[in-house]
Amino acid sequence: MRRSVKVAFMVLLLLLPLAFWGAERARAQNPTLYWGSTGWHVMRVQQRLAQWGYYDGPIDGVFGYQTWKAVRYFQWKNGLAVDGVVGPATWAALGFPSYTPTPAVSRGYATDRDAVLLLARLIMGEAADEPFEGKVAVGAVVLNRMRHPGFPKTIPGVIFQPGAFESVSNGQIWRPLSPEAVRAAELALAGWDPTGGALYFWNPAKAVSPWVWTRTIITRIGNHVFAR
Amino acid sequence: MRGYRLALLLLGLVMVAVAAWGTKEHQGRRYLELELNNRYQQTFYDLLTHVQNVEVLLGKCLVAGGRQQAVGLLSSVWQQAMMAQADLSSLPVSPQYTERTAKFLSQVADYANTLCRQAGTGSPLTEENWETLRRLYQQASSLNRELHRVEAEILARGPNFWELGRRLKARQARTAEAPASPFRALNRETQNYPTLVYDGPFSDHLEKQKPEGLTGPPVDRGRAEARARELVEPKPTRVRVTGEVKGRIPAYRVEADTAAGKVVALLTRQGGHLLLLLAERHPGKPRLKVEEARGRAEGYLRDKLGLKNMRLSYSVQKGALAIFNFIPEEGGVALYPDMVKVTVALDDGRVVGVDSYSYLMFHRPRSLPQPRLTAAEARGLLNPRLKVENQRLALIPTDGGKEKLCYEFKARLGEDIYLIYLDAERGEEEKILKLVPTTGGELAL
Repeated sequence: MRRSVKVAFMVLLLLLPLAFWGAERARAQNPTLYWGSTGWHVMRVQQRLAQWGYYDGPIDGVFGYQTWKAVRYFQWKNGLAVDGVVGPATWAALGFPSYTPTPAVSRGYATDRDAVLLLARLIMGEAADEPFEGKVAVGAVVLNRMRHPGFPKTIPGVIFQPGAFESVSNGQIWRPLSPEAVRAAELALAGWDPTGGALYFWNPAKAVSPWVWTRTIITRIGNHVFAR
Repeated sequence: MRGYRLALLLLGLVMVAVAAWGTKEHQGRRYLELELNNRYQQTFYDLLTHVQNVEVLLGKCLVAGGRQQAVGLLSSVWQQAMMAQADLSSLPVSPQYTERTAKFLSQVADYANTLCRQAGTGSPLTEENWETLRRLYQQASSLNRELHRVEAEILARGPNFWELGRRLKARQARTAEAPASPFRALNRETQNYPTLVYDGPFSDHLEKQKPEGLTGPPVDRGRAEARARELVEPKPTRVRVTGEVKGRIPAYRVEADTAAGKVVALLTRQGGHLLLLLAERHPGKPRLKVEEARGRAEGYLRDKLGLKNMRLSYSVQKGALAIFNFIPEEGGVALYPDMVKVTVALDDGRVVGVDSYSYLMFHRPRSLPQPRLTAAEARGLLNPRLKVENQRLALIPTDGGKEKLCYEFKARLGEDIYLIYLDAERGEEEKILKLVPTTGGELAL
């Protein structure tokens, strides 16, 4: 008896990698096992029953009397129908739930939330005191830049480009967000562009580099001049 | 005397403390300076490497014989040029100096990508493609040479990117001199690049597109104001033209005061069409369902803008706002380029936003081609893993500013929903869109 357990254990060790390799596929179908069944599915049951103390026979992959008795004992203990047959319910109770065909591809986790909030931050930093239209306009400039070959290709790229926006340089963009800024960011992302395709904006009341006046001015909204 | 000594001692202690604090601060700053400088140095040397790779790879493209070889090289050009573009815009140089160079790198990447896709569909490189590649190769070499000159200049002056970054910040208030000077020369060099026209999103011809949907005679300010009076909800108490927008579609900017706050409307100079509408007010608690709001949006399109045959394509609820995308349908074909977006406030059901830029830009009488494939044939070409839920004919805009008649399939893989566009003529997959589930987003198809 001891000897056979030992041998079985060694065989098991040898088979273990195989068992892991097969586990994924095996889960696909847990066949119904009964007296007389053979094979490594029987071994899985025997092994589990032995682990949980229902079975002390050899783990030999043969569904014989000892296994049958252990299965019935296990079923009785766990409130299952005591029939000595390992069906789906018993498999599940043994910790091997039958495979339900879930699709291999689960739902992705892509979202536009980060873009909205980041854009809202810039709007907060650059145009907190501007009318709503001016806020949407600043958001639109970021998106126009993103679509223009001369600027970075992502929203964070455009916003954090060194020297691109004053509020990024002086930390103003980390102010708390207002709901209005978030709403403006959402509209800008949805396509609203009151600037007619502007790439630059500035406040003419502040001293600005004379370079800005070489750009084509498109319009003026609130305190900002918008240009291409 | 004792008091004097004590004071002296205290003063000494204070001075020691201040000195210690100052040293610590200085060390901290020094550390930050070095660290930032190192990051910028890395970016700069990455830029050099990537531009050099672009040059070499473009050179190889000129001599590649096989299509397979060319595809491999072109996709490398695409990748290296994109990385160079990203490096360039991470350097502490004002965007005004990097814009031209960045544009060149984007176009190289974009052009390589376009050729790559062209080769993927089986068409070989034409003589014209080769000539363009040769020109780009020459320009990349001269850019590479200029960058190495900049490198020499930076090395000669010591690593001072920190200083560049610091002065760049000050620039905004004062002047654009000195700090970027090595890059200024670079920018001047790139001024001479000729325009590049091809079938990609950064092609130069797209910047010169003219609106095709503008009908009617030019209108004056008075007419624009009258039109705004009709279009703004609720009835405005006062309207006036406050300026002009000289964008691709020239328009008057009209401000309207209403009982529910200020509304801004852009009305086109030609025809007085509504280009954009934006209400200032923040909507209160939502009381309408999105479905009810949809009726309001449809009514607005039909009654106020006179747009018939508009079908809802997508709707999304953002807080107390519902945004609806409408597209016209003509002879059973959905015209995606001519989209109009309408925003409805869910508290009182009024239209608070309209965006008809795309419609005015692209809508015109078209003669649509007949599809060569039947719907069933097209369906047979889809990836068999997909579960098709719906299909129709649709005209979609392509990256290069053209339009293509496609079969549109709404299909599912697992829980994810995809929109797949198959060229109705050759059955090639033109575009695959993946629907990103957002709260309150609803695809109407």
